[in-house]
Amino acid sequence: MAENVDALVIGAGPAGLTAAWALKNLGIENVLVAEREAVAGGIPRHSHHPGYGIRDLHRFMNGPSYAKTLVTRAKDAGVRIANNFSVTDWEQDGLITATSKNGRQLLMPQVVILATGARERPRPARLVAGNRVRGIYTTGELQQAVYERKLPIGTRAVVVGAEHVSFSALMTLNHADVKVVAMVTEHHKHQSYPAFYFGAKVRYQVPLRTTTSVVSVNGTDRVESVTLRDNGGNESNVECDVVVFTGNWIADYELAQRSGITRDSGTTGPLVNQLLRTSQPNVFAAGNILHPVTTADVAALDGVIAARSAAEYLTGRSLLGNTVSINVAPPFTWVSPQQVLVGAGMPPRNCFQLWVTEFPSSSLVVVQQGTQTLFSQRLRLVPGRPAELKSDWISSVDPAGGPIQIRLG
Amino acid sequence: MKFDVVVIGAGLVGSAIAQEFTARGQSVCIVEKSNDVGNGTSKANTAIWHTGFDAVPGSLESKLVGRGYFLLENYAKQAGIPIVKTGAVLVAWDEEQLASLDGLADKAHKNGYEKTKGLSQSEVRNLEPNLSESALGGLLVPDEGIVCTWTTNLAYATTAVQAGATLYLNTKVVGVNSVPDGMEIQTDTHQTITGSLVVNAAGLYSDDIHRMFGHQTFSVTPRKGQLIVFDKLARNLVNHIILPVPSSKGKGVLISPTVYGNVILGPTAEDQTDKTDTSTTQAGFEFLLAKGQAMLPGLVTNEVTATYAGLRAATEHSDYQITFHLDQKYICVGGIRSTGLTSALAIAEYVAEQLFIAGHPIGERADILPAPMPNIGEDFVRPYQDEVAIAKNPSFGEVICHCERVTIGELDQAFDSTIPPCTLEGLRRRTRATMGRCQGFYCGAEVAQRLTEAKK
Repeated sequence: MAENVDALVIGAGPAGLTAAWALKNLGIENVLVAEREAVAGGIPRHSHHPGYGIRDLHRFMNGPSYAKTLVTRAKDAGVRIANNFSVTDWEQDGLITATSKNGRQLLMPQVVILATGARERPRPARLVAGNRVRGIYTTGELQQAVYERKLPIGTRAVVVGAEHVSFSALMTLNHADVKVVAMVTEHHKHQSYPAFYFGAKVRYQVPLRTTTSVVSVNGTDRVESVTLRDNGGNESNVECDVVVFTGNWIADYELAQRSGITRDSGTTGPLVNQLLRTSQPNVFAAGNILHPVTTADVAALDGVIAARSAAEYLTGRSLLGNTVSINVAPPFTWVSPQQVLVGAGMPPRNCFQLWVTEFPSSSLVVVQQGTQTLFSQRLRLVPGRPAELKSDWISSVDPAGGPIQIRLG
Repeated sequence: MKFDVVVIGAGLVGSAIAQEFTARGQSVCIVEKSNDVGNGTSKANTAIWHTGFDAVPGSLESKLVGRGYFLLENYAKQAGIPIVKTGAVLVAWDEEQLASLDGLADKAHKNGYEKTKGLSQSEVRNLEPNLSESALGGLLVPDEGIVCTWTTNLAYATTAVQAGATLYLNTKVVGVNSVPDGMEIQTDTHQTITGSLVVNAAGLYSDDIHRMFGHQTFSVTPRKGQLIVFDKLARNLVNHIILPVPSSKGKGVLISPTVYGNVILGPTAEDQTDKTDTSTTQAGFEFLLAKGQAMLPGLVTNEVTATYAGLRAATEHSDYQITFHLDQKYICVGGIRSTGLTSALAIAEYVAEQLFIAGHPIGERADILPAPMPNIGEDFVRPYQDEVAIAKNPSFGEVICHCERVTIGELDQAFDSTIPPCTLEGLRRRTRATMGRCQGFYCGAEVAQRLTEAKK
């Protein structure tokens, strides 16, 4: 028999934990968080550097402490967290099947909040040629191997990518006594904060190779070198025994897909309105599954909005009304949320997340509905880093005015 | 060490032969140069279970693939090897290919396969609605299927070892010597192994071994095949194996579902001299993606889960190179190409029969009882879905690799098995752990640590 729960949150990362905690605060009785890993807390558990908790907890902490704080807060509020609990199937009628040590379990939740997060694309998904050898990592795997598992990594690394997470990989490699011999980006400059870059440059003396791509990873048993190509087409080999593929995020959307909810082709995650409601009225989403990726605190704060919307649904107060969709024009690749429910309040943190994959020619972002310009704002647009577009303009959206377009001015 | 039979190579063919001889009560030794069974050509092929409909009629390959088809089906069911009869559709993309379909049906008939069916353009569309509009017609081969090549190889080797065969891994044959009662094998581990009979099943290196025995009747030209594995979300785009029609433009590439629930696109066909070069190339990817786009447009927009390249042991001859040199106590089983996955059991049976005919004492054949294999295929119950298995051993309920839904119980089962994995790659082939869309982003470090601990 299926177990009835009021709210099932899938994923115990910052977004899921915050959503579950917020649901309890809103008076929802039976809140279960399904976490497939042995320990709740999500990605921050493996990020042993400070910078977590700023926007949501108004504190400055490292990843593991941040994760623990969110877990404790949720549990103290009365949230049940099931660890090693893998949701494997999700029928169209809402029936969910999970596997754990206790066997197969059926759940019939009244509402679901999807918070399965995002991950980096691994080497094959980037179609990097060469050999299948040991010594190839994503930042996620590297951080677990170094901090959690204390496994030997290697001696000389090439880091692919030069965005925030790439510098996180750099710090992890440094901790594991691996020398970073090159940091490679296809862009003409790095995409992190100037302070991060100069800090890394001075401290680790990493040569940054811009407008350069990785052609192949070479070796017989483990990595021996990578072949790089610059924008002039010149190829060169860099000797190394470790390659870390960083960034290039993709939402963990498999469950979303199985449930039959509509996905956004840009974010790859569920399509949502500003209340974080998906195409199914009782399914909501929060965190980096919606915008791969923002920092953990930004993901966490989605949880508050998703919880409020889910609670409104549970108490029969869901807002209905006209929905207007938001499209993006190049160089933007996605916006999150992608829909405006007219008259329904603001998205998380009163902003939309915007993403580019190239450095754009202008910094002026224009929001338009038909011929009407609703809003414009100058933003620092950097590939691999979300830009936050203020959302005040949604109060002037015309419910009959057709789709909204976000473009460069 | 002295054995009745020494088999060189623990690929599909060598393992099947070892299994055959152990079932005949012979003492058997398998000498394998790499660190695992099934670690050469046998691990990186298209994993298709062939009817043999398109073999060269009258060839040994035709006969053995046809026979092997049924042997493998029966064996796989007993051992629990993932095998699925998906059927195949040969699709004609131009007039030349369309015109050659009748000839292919005729060839199938000559190979003893009677069930092909010609398909009109609309019939192709009905069977495979996601194919591109340019599909002009086709030929249905309803009995073609897909099988897990890794489990098959592991089953043969495990069954042989459990029946008493000795397996030497990391042991390379460097020379052979005739001795009064057989053949002496020298290895790079300084072991001397003597066999009353030596079987060369060295795959890509079968010509090198053949030369050690003084024969130069064929040479292996490795033919590289690059393949792209697409995400499981692409699986519902195809129902059958989509086979190319061989034409003047070459053999073409196929699209096939896999028993793990993915879709593969490939292979390329690139002749090379290096028997170790299994690297993929940007040019290979571009070629395959263009082909994929032309055949099944919805496929190439899916995420890529893995890419790999395998080498086929192609020779200058069109047929298998199975020769008996009983004066030398030596049998060569070389030049076995990708059809070897289907034919291996029939090859083993054939070798034994020929020896019997030649009057070589090979013992009475007992029934082979295949060692039961853990299921890693999607068409059968996986441990994470198995209420009974989890109740007996709760670690079958602990999913560690989320993309492929591999449990800790399955890792432990592999570590405790007759032929345990000694590398992450070996563990992947036995369990699928870290083989999925994230390639270890979530579980790679823990899986690696568990392997390290298991090896201690």
